[in-house]
Amino acid sequence: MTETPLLEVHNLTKTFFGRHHRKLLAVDNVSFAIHRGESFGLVGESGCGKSTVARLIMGLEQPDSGEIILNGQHIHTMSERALRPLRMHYQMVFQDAASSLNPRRRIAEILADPIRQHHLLPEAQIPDRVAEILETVGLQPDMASRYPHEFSGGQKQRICIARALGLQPDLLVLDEPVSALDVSIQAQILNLLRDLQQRLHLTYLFIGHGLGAVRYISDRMAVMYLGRILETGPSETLFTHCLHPYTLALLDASPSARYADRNRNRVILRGEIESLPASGCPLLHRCPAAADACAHQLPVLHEITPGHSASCTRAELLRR
Amino acid sequence: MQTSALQAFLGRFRRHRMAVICLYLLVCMVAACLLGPFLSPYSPTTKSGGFSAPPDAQHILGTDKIGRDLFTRLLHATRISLAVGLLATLISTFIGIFLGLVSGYFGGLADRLLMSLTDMVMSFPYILLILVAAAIFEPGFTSMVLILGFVNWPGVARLVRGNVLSLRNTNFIQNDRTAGMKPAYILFREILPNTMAPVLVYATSVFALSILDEAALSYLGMGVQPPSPSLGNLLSGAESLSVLTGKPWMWIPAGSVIILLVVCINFIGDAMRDAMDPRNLA
Amino acid sequence: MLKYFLRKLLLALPVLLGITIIDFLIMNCAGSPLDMMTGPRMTAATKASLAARLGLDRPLWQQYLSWLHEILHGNFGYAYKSNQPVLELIMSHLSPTLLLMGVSLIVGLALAVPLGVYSAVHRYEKQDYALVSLSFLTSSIPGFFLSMLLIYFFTVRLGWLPSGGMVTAGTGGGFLDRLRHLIMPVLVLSIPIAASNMRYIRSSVLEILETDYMRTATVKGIGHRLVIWRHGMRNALLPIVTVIGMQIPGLFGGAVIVEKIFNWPGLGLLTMDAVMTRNYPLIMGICLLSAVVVLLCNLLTDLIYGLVDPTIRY
Repeated sequence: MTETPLLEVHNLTKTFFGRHHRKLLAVDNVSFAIHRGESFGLVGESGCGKSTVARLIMGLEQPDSGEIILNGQHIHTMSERALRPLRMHYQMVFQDAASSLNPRRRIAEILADPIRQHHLLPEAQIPDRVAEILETVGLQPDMASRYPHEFSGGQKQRICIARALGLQPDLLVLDEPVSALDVSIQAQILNLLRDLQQRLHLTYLFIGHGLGAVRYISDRMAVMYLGRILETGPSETLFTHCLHPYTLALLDASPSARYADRNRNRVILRGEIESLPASGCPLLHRCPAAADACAHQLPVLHEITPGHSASCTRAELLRR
Repeated sequence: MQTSALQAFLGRFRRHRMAVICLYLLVCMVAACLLGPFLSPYSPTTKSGGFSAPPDAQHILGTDKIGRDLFTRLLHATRISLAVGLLATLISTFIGIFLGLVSGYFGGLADRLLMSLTDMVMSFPYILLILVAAAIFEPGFTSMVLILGFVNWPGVARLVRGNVLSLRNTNFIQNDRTAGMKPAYILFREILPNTMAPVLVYATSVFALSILDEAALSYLGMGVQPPSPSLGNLLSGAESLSVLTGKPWMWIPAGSVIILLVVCINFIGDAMRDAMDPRNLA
Repeated sequence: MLKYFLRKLLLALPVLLGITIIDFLIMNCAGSPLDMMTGPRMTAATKASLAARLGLDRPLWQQYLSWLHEILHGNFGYAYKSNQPVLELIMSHLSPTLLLMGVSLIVGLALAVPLGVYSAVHRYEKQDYALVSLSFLTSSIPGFFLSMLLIYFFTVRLGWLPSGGMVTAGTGGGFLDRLRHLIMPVLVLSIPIAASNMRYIRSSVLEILETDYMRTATVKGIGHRLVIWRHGMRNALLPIVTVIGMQIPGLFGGAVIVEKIFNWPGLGLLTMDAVMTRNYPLIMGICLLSAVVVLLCNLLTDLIYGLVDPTIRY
């Protein structure tokens, strides 16, 4: 791996301020890199900050500190205006497809406007291009004259993907693109995404809370909890030889856990997701393997086997 | 607008029988005052009969104290009052939309300054504002339109700002931003069409208010100036007790027309509001 | 709580300052005060010396600052012609207007609350349609036309009520006399208040009736009337407080016209006279005073809101 990654995120941090100046550390010192043609998954419970990571990368929020480097360019320091022409290189698909489409405009307009904005094609070729991308995502070209409300949830998500693809991006940030869909439709969209990645040589940042979907799409993945990455590594390794107790608990909580040994006692986290402990490991109060040392020492993400890191002081001990 | 949504809107609007009747009435009144010169053989500003004559076959609403045909004057007055109301509404709606869009989309300092300006104009007794303005500027049709237009925008601005703030966080606007669309595109092609419906409803009440204010100011002698007639200054002659008691034809018709216009506009606006309410979609 | 209101008060100051600046600019747009004070026969030399004496030859911002300085010392200037101090003039006209506005507000709300609740409870029934239509009709009548109608019926036809003034001329004006003079102006002002607030109250009660806690209360077997009054009213009336606060400026505007028609010796009549005779120092004083009143009303609205709604903490 000597080539430079397509997307590098270094020490990204973002704090939100709630009512009464209460601090919420949404993203805490997050770093990862995604190589060209790779698919990187980000999993975690709701509220763990994974969507904030996506919004930071997309420039919808400004990070407090840290770097976001796309294709060698520091996009986090750029002004909105300077960033605008670069935005076509990385596109986003949101969870809720229905609200991602302006209800008052036809599909043709929704798909054509970004192409027009970036002057990617002469005006005369745009209708053909719209038809082409509709076909790419598995829709009929004649659907272009319809309005968003005439489509089903899965079809709307296909349209959202088509809109992103219209700009021929290198990177696609998929923020829980299938979570709001029926299970049968989920599989169709996941298949479409995998198929598109191979055909168009796309790079994915896939965010989800369902382990199955993330495993299906991703080559490598990271597990987030309370704004931090707890474990990262190749997807298969993470599923078969996970290092962090939290990952293990997530795997065991997954209903379709074919990988889990049914006879073994399941790892179950105590309590609810809560705010950070005063010191030590963020998982301190919930971890079944917590030891005295965990209360004092904040674990850092460190490589345990090549390409596989965890932020748990007891990771080596728990290794199996 | 989608045809299906428009049809649903019209269907729900039609259920308000009063509003439908009012719509027809309003159309009739507008048509009458536009066709005024052809309906009446008299001029609104020259003497055509006896002084203060009661209604008869020649002058169906009688004549005023200098012998002008009151029916003709009423038609012209309605036209002028409607024009003042419409133009003032257009001006305030445009100002309100523009300021609301800017304030809601860009936020920050611009938003705070614009909103305190809005509060200032809104919390000022606005008849006072109009009176002061009318005292300073030469009263007449143009200053009337401008004064009313520059007084009624804060409501529209607030409405638009609120809509922009909620639309700004929808995925399709965020999607526009990530697609690198320009702010002008986002504001005018995406946000504005989605906020027009409530603005239209609000504009009807501004229209009704403007007609009432024009009438009040012209009645006080600070609006449209004679000899050109307006619904308000037709009534200003009726202040004297002798007109009030003995010559009802000189004040009842103009007052009734004002009430009829404003009632119609209000009923239509209310039915529109009701028909657009998403809770009534079922 | 106190801290919150102090902050609000501090925030209101710039608004007030802004209003005085606008006032000042408008007055200067209207022309130099000199033209109002001096006759046509005055020579240019006397004019210049008068301007120098009054400080009118200085730049505008200096004039504004010295005006502000005078205001802070309680000097609102002198009205043209009569040369009476503006503040004194305003104060002597204030109480009739406050009486008129206060009574109208109370009468209007006393009509609006029961009618609004009644209409909401009987939603989509004949009574509801009748009341809502009536409220649209009454809020569409221009105040001055309603005044004319009232004078026509009660003074001219029936001879029951006097057509203007606050007391019968020549008499000291007992309580009943004042009351008789008050009836028509109050009716004209309170009917639109009742009409618009009735609709607000209706929709706000409707919203409350739809909530789950009202359904729960009904299911628990608490009588319908009791449910509405005990559980619903408090929450339904909360938004109305804001609406009323916003209506105060409009009420003052209405008072100007009503006072003019009924010859009610209040601030409105003074305003009309000031406007008609272009008495700028007086107009400025009235504008400033009404701005203060309006801002105080806004503050009061917030205060009442805080007292009525237990969920609001400052």
